[in-house]
Amino acid sequence: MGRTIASITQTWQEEEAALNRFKRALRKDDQLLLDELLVLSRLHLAEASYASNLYPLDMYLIAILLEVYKQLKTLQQRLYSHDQSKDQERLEEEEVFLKLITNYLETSGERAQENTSEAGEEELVVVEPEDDSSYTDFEEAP
Amino acid sequence: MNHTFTGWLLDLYLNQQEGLSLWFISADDDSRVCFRQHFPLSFYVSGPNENLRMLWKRISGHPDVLSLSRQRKQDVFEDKLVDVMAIEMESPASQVKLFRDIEQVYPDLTYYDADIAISTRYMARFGIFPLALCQLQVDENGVIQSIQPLNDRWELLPELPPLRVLQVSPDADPNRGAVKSLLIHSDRFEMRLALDPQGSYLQTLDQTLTDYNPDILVTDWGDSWLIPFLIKQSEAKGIPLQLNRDTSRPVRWQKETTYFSYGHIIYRPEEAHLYGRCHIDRKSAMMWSDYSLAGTLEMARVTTLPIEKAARVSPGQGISAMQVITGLEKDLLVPYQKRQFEEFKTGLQLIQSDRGGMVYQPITGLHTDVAQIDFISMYPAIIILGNISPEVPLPDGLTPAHEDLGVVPLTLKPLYEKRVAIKQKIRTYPQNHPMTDTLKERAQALKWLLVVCFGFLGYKNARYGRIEAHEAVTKGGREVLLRAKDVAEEEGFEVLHMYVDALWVKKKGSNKPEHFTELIKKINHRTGLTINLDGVYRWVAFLPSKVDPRIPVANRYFGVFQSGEVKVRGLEARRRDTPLWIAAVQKEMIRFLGQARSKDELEDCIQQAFNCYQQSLRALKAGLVAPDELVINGKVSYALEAYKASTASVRAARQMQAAGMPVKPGMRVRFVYTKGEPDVTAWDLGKRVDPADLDSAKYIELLIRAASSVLSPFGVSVDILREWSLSDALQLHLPAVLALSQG
Amino acid sequence: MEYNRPDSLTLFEMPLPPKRFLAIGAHALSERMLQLISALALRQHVTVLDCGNRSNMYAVAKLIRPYTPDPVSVMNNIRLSRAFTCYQVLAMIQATAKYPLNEPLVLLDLLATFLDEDVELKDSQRLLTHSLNLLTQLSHQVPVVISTRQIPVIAENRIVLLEQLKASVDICWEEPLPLPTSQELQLALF
Repeated sequence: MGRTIASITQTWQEEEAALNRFKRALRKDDQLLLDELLVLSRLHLAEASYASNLYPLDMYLIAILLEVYKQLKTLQQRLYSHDQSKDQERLEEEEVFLKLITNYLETSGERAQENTSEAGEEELVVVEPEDDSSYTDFEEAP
Repeated sequence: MNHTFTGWLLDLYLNQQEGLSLWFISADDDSRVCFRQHFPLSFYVSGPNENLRMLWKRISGHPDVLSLSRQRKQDVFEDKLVDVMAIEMESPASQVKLFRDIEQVYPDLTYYDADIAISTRYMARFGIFPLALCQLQVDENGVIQSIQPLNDRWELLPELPPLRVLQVSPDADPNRGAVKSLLIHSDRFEMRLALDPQGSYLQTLDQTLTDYNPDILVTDWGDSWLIPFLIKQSEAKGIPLQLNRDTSRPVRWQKETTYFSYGHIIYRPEEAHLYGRCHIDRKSAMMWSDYSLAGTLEMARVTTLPIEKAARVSPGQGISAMQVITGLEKDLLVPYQKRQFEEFKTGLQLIQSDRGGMVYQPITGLHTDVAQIDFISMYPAIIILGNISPEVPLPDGLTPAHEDLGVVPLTLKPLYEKRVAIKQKIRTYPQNHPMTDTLKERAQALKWLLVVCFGFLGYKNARYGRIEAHEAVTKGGREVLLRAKDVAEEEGFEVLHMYVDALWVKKKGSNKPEHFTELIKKINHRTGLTINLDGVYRWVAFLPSKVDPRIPVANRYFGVFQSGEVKVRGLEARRRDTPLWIAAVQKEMIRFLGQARSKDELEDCIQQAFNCYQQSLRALKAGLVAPDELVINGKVSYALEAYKASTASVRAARQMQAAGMPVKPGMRVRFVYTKGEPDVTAWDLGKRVDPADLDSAKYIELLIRAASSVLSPFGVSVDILREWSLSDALQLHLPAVLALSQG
Repeated sequence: MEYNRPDSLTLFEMPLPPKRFLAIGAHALSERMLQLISALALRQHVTVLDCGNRSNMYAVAKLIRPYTPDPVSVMNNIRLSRAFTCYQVLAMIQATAKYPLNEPLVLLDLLATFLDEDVELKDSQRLLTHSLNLLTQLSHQVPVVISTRQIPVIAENRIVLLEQLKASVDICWEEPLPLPTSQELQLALF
């Protein structure tokens, strides 16, 4: 007793075919990019099938968004790693400097003690990094 | 005065005079004996009272009708008992005849138990099946008075009879060339019989059949050529040849047929059936290449199909017979025509329910230290666990909705348990144990029965088929696979691929079987089914589509287990239509790759695989490959007139047709690609084809594709391989190629 | 074209009166019949008996989407069952006729299973006769719309079934056969 509902691959092919007019009117470069986007949706056919949504196209669009977001995250991670190594360098430099200033303060005696409260506050000031991207955001990423 | 006889049942068939004829192999003196048995039986009719009354009047004086009565019995698809007229008949032969007669006159009545095979009825009544060991009480006229089985279908290592098997084969493929002699082989002797014009080979063969008295005749092309040839020669030369043990009967011919099964058109040629002896044609035995004689006998045993039939038909018929037996044992009416239709659904419900197994898109590329874990007979296990059967309420997910097992799970349960038991038994054997191969073949036969039972649940003509039940199984399968995925991810594994009942997983640091024990235990617990570690791959490559390398493909991969065993799916080497030589080259390339024990060793192995390809390409270009190794095994699915576009197989089939060799839908058509017009030559025309006649460009392309499937995961693109292979450029060292393909 | 209401795409003028309608064409006019089902489901409940595995509900979902804010309810207006043998077709129609029907009845590709070579012609005819009698009874209450394919050449002995079906309906629409190609039309020069 055969299957009646079109398979997920068949519906994908129908949706791809439905975009033919739009694609034709696109410039060549954009046509290639559109192809790449559509291919991304094919990575999640099983999931789209399982969803049993009335409108498989909605699931393909979600799949495309998911893959594009994944690529975005990968790029962000690469950028972040680059920044992280910069930050790490910075932390090490700060550590060296703190050691110097602490030794200086210890060896310079009264002058350090007289000025402790003001100097202490200044020393403890942490300079916020200029970059907005935060470690917490990345951890929470799906 | 009755005497007791102990022996194994070999064959059973209708006897027009006295019910049944049964052939046994004596357990006492190894003799082969035929007894007869009376076998009165009943079938049932329901319908409007007026029509039943008319039928009653018509048949009440019939000499073969023993009794007519009104009864109330259970139809599997009805809630209430059904009023039926029970017609008790003298013998199976008379039942068949009467049923055919009254069905013509009263086609609108509903018939039950009307067309059940005699071997199935016999099993349901006495519990006796092919090769069952039995004890009988027989009177002085050779008529069985009583019979009991001494073993059952589910025994792991049953006591089997000492079967006599005679092999008879022509010395050449009769479709390709002239047959000059027959090769005869048994456990006691071998001989070659020249086909002399006087026909003395017929006398020798006849004498052999009398003296050796085989139980099973195994032939090649027996149905399509050998037996028709022998009978014709015997008649023409006036030399008697008695193929049957029951000498009162001629060979029975079953006509050829074409049918649609599991997405394929299948052609079955005419079949030669014997009496008192079993004829198996290896060329038309459907599953022979999978499980040969031991598996065929196991199939006959558990399904109760006669041995000849078990060898030829699809496992679906076996499952059907088993379900009918369960129905009869439960005293359920077995419908003649299936009328049950689908319960009404909404449009939305149809979208949600009409789905199959989950088939993921794998993460393509090369992966190391990957475990493949498979559910054991997943769909049958779901049918049993969820109690999925057409006549009971269906489960929601995996939890059964009804306590008492329905017909379908009741049929499957002992089959499933036996297969598991056989596999466990094999594991206890030391290497090279003499029983291992036999048990493996038997397990394979059972596996096929289990594989088809799910499809059969959704088959339109299956008596116990019901589409909702079929859908409930796939729903359960999706649920099980997703639970397994959840567990794997909770345990920190990455899921590389999933395919209906299997998962491929990896985790850093996990590369030995014991690293996956906990995962397996947890999946078993979460799903209620049994999952097994198929093996841990040293490496596995999931391939993309040949058409678009950006798109993953679910069932194309190859890899090497830690044991050294290579697994290949979806590649050219596995396809029936790939020429043997090309399949061999691909397998050899994979074998080289399989020698790599680690990523470091892989580069050398890739080089060896590539060298193998180069040598093969040179040989092909130089015309050194024999044409018979480059034959394509095509297929024609429809009548030739129905084809608008002409494929290579169709062009070859038209050549056969023109030569007076008709090609039926579903038939295989062998051909080679040749230069010029026509561009194909049908192989079975018997025409001589030289290597120089072959269209080498086509074969080079096939070779390139086969090699590219193997090398692409290792960075060799098909375009570069093709460019290189088609030009006469100097051979470059492989790393340079890799550098090229990277751009 | 995309913005026309589905009614205008249907073969028969809506609303349908209680009569028997037959539409004959390639693939049992699948697309047109699904348009009809969409148009009906947007207005009311409809019963669909799928006799040829033609009820691709995805197509219906797409067709109704522009015309309703609640496609789920519209899809739930469609009550359907599938039959895969002519025996099942008759049983399906018998079950439908058992109780009064208040909504249009659509049968997709009615003759598909009656062409099965495994069923003798006389049995196909007998089952079809019963089926058509029941559909006639039903058409007194509700519109009954039937679609079927043309009989293929390899089953030409079954053309009597199509004739029987045609004779039993009130209104029949048949898709014109494709014109012969210019090659076939070209007259011989001599």
